[in-house]
Amino acid sequence: MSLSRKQILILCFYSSAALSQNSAPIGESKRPPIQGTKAKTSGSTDAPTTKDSKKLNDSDPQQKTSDKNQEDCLKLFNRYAVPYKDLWAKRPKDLKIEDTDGLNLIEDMTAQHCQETETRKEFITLLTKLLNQHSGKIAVILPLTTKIQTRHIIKGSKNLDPKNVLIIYDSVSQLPRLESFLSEAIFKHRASAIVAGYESSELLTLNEVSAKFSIPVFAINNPQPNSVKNNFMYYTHPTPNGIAQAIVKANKFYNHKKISILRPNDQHSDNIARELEIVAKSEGVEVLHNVSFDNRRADQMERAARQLFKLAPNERLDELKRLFENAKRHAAAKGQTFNPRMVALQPVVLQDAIVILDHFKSVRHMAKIFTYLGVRKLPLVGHFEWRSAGLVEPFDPVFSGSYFVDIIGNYSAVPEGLRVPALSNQPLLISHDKVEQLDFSMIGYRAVQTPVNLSMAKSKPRRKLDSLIPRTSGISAEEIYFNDANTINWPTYQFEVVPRGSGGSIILK
Amino acid sequence: MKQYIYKILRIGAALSLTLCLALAYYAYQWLNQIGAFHLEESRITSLKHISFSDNSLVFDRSGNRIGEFFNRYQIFASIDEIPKVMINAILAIEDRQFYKHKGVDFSALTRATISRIRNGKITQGGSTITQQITKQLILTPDKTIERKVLEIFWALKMEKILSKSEILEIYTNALFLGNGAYGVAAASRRYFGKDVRDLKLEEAALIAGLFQSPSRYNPAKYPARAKKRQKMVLNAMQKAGYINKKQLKTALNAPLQYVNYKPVNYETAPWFVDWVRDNLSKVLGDKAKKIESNGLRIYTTLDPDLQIAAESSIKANEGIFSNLEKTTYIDTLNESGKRNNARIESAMLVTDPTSGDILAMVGGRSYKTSQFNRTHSAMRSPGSSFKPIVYAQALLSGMKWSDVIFVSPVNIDNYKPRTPESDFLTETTMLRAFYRSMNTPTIEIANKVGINKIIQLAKNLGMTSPIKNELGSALGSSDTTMFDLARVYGTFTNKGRKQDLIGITKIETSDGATIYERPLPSETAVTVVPEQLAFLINEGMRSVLIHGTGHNSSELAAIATGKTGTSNESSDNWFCGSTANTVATVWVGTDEHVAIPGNVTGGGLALPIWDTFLRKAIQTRPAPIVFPPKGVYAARVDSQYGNSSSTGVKMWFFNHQKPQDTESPLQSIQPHTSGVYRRVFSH
Repeated sequence: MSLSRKQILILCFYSSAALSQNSAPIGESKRPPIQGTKAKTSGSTDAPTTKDSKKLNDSDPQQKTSDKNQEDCLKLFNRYAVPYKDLWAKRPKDLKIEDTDGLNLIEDMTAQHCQETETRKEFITLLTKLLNQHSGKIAVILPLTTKIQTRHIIKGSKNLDPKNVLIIYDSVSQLPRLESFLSEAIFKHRASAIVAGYESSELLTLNEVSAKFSIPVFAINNPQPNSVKNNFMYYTHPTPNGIAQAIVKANKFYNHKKISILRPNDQHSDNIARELEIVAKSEGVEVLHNVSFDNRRADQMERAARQLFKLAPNERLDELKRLFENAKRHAAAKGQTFNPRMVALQPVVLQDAIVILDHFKSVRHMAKIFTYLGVRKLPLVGHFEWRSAGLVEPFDPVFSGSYFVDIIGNYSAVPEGLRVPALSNQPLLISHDKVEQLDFSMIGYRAVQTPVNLSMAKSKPRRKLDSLIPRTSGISAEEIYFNDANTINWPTYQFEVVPRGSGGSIILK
Repeated sequence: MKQYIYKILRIGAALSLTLCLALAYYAYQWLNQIGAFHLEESRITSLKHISFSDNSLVFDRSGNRIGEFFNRYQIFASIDEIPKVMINAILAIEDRQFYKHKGVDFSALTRATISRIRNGKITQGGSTITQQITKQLILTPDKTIERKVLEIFWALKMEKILSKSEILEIYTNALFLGNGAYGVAAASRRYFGKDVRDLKLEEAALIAGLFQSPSRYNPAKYPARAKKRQKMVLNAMQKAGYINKKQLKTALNAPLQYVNYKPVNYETAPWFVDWVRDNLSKVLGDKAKKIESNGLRIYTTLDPDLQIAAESSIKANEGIFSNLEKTTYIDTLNESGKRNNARIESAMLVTDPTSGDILAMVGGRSYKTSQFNRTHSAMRSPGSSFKPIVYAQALLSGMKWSDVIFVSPVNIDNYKPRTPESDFLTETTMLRAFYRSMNTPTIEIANKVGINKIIQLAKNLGMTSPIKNELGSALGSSDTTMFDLARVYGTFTNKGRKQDLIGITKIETSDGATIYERPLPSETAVTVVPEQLAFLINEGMRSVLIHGTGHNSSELAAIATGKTGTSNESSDNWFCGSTANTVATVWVGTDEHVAIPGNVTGGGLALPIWDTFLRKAIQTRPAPIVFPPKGVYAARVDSQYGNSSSTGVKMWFFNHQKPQDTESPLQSIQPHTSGVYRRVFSH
């Protein structure tokens, strides 16, 4: 579908108007609304929005003088031509495009072209095509050879690709390659949407491209701190906040109002713990401790655990001295040798539960350290990294009644094609070597679900595809929508550890 | 006048007669009173039985004499066995008129008496050999008139009852001649290290000189005096015509080659000989009375080659012991106020598991330094060498070698055993915990299966020492003996059949009558655990050598199995290892139970000794091949995570057990990495 001349002129007008109002760099969030448009309340965009376009389409094109056209063209040139030229220059060297659409114009384009009516028209036409036309293809650009789990993402993506609309690129975790493939996807394939952004370092580029080219980008990642919101940039990865919400929800379900957090000293655990503190506070759950540890060292784990129960060195020195004296007297009275190792402070347990944001192996060791310190029974709370047969086999009764949350519920409910057989003796668990594969398949599956839907709306200009992105919660938890921060929803599920025979099992609550 | 004189004479005679009669009467009364007329003949005839009093002898399994038991060091030699030169020497110096008098040489006695009256002291002896026998063997050595008179009476009577040969035989066999020796044959052995029949003139003369005063002329202490006395004897022999001047000169100039007396008991297996003596009463019961002197012939199980191998293996590590002694202290202070260094001791017991035979026993580094038998009498903490019992009970209770345990600090009722920190935060199979001798998994297993059952099994397997009813016993906190451990390891090696340890196979009297013979091993073996279980434990102990704390001796794993043991602060260091026919238990520590610094272990201290020993032992005692019994099978299993794996270690299972087929989820995160199981947020 091609735009009418009238539409092109409207676009030019719009573009020039927008440019006149916004000379700030792309990505800046606060700027005055363009003339005749309504300012958005949240986030910002450099691309024309659906509402803006509608208004422009409905307006009467009164300004048709040549000077005015030139001026508008220049503004349009300044806004689009520069980034288009940049991206065009980054196209693969061996890229072959039939020059029917006049793409070469981009390469040679200068401000002078706006002075010539004919070339100006060509330029406007080209821009219009590039912004509006889309082929129904989806470019998936992932570091396939450097990040092996992205292959599972591809598998999940393809599960939703019955019409073979995906174009797969391997970025090899290199930004120039990403840009090169973006160029190819946009200029050659006229992609309807892009799925990329597995590497956080790619997000800035993707944000810019999505805004400049009005192309929906679905990043397999979380928004970066201080990233600029843009109506064409979406995030499809599970979020620390989502996990934190689920944990607090479970805390409340079990009426655990005081919790302590133990986390390994890595960035992603720190992110979840930070979110957990915020969410817990807002939900009335008190966080007594938030302590990190090195899960490679038993002494550090023990030290972290001691902090939770007032067993840190010197914390109760007087009490410890009294215990020593009593034990000495007791041994002397019985004629026994005093053994200082038998003297230990009793733990002070103030929390209702302890959240351990670490994998099941670490948690099992931590639970033994708790027992070692004299903590007899305390519900332990975890997240998706707990979900393993290793948590319950061999069974440690100390875990009975503990619970954790996950982003995947019953494995039998996973979309067909991605489904993995459950363990014969643990219906809610799968083989450990399939877990990561399934996780990333599901991430891929959910990441392409919206783009695939968008790709089918070929009649809709690409720059208006954002209006098709679901924004409200669906009927089922699995249905996809994006929140105000353009972040996808992930369902969460709550599991409990229960004894079963001489062993243990998990149940879905 | 004459009549008057005769009258006086008659009166005098009458008075003299009366006086004589009175004297005679009183003499008679006095002699009667001191018993001179009531000499019991049996006391003389009993002296003849001295020939039946003999040392008891101990022999090893090859028939070598390794010990003698005696109150008095005595070797009987009949008069025919005693060489002429010895007899002549004795007669020349002690009783030249022996064959002429009737027990008392009155002329010699008179000379001695006159000499005594003149000089006021004894300058020459007047007692015959017969009198000396009565003085030494019948009467007391008191120097009184009564005793001297009785001596004469006894001597006279003895000569009537015994022949001269019998008297001489008693004299040459029964009298003390110094250095513990009684009789010339014993003296010949003690001083010259030779049989009495092989004595030379000068040697016989020296021994003959000892009769008068064995201590005064003891050549070991007073060689110059002894030589002077020997010269006196030789001169007497020449004067009596037994030798000529040339012989005299030659003998006087001949050097005397004394030997350092080394009792046979000390030569081969001193601790074992001691143990045999202590054990005789147990074997013989009431018949054990007078063991030392009733001439028993005691045949034992000791293997001389293995005994030598055991002793030399400990000696081979003397350098290590010396180095450790520089930094190992006991609590006492020396003269300069510094703590005294401890002596590192070591012991080894070698047994045959199939029969219970004690093949070698080394109770310490030096018998001369310490006769304390550490194989039998020392109560020591066995440390991890107790663990095979714990794991045996675990297998009996339904666990299997591939079961997985999380290795973390353990606190059970305030009991907090230690395990090397490097093992924490790892997971392990039961077999790996066993061969690496991890403490916390062992305690968890013991807690799971029950310490009471473990203690009962220990008793069944052969432990006789009391075991404390507490979890710490699972790590060997209850003291025990090397004998106990040898029995337990022997039971595992002997396919679950317990044999008590024995050292004596047969006891005969000196005339060849058998008074004790051990029962056949097949009659004494008691099956206490299934053969399959014993095999699984033994194979577990083979893993100790292949992969575990005994890997420094992995070359021996093809034929041997074993387990290390180290008690708290390394005060006891063990290695208990075996082949199919030999169990060797080695201990290194101090008698004061003090800590040995330097992180030493059973694997570092005891294992090298065991290794050295076994390499020597198999030269003379090849190890038979062990075949698995029915009802067990082997599989390759990942040693950490317990699942079947072609690259895993070999584990043995009961037929009804099976390792996990699928890869363990635990493998998804490597130990001691900050690995992530599901990298949803960490890519």
